Amino acid sequence: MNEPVHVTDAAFEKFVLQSTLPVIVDFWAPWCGPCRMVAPILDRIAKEQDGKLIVAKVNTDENNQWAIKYGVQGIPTLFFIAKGKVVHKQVGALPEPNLKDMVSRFLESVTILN
Amino acid sequence: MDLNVAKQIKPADAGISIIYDVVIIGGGPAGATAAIYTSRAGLSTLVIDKGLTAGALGITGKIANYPGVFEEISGAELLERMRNQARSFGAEFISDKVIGTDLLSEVKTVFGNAGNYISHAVIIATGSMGRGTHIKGEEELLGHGVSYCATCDAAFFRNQEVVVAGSSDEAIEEALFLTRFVSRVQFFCPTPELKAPQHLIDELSENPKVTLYKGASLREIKGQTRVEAVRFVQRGQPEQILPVTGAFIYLQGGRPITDYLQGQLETSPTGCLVVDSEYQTAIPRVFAVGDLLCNHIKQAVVAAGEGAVAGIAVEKALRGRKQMLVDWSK
Repeated sequence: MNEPVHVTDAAFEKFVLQSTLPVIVDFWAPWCGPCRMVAPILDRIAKEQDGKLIVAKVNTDENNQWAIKYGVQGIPTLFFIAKGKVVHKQVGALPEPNLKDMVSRFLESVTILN
Repeated sequence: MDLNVAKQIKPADAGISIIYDVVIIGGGPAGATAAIYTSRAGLSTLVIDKGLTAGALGITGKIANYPGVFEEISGAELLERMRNQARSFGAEFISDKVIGTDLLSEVKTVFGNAGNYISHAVIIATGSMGRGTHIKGEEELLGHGVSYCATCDAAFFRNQEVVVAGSSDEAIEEALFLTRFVSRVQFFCPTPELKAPQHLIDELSENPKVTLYKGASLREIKGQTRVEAVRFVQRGQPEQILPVTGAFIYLQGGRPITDYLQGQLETSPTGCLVVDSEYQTAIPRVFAVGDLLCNHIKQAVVAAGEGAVAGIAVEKALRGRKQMLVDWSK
């Protein structure tokens, strides 16, 4: 999947929690400036890490069930999830090098877990 | 695979429309003067600003030493005159808070809460009213009730009680936005009086969902995993604890505001930006002027002078001239 996939509440469990690949979930909304800032970075990460991880986007305006379950109170919030478990959480946008560094560490930690 | 995929992001959601010649971040004396020069030189100019009283000049009661302005006027009035002058030459002003930038790319992008703005050159003029220290609990509870963006996060606080801390028009506008969602806004103004245009102060004071605490300084945001209460002290009264589930912070300090640059430009240990004699930073076509510079004298006339130099230098850079052309005749 070389681009982010938009996931609804109904699809979250199957697509995120039961995914065999690690997943970055971006809780976002169209009117949120920092979300717009992080979106193109996530597009690039999805492309560069194709086959290694999945970038899932959840529009909290239309799908708030999992945002509530995870206690999201600010967007963007990124959850780094592997085998259904939250490995790391990032609240707020980050510059591209920092976010990519976070993704690398996430993938390393997932490899160690395996 | 049945993903039940939601709708895709529309291009309009990205908020991108036209490419400006120059985007100026900050509409104080430095930014507004730069806008006068760039717009008068025929460059399409956008100034992004948080509000009239977000900066040092806008909250200055009386200005008596600005050359050519003999009568005593308020800082906000002087600033409004500068902005109107820039508008008369075609500069556009937009009220938004800048949260990030991409300055290294050929075409520059400035990310705001309300949209993205793209340009060939950027002038940074955000002043030095940034905060240096955090309140106890603020960092730990960021994203768990602590927020700097009501427009982003208000919906998560529907029918809850929140605190807004600040005194500028930005803080008031954010508080008024929050009243559409929350049950009550406890507004902590750290100064004895609010520093904002009167109509905004009136709107805040008259809003039935707002309780205004003047001279209230926020001491701590309390909570284990999420915001549960705030500890504060109001002038002449004992310390109090107020239960809230959200804390929206718009306090000001005395440090250069450069956080939205996200380390793309070199800053000194005191946080100020380094520029050359034409106020260009280490990145071509990115300039910085005003109070956020090192060794800068904090006077409106100095900031305006720097804005003028940078405005002329931007025109030179975009039109490919080697020397600055000073326009004596128009």
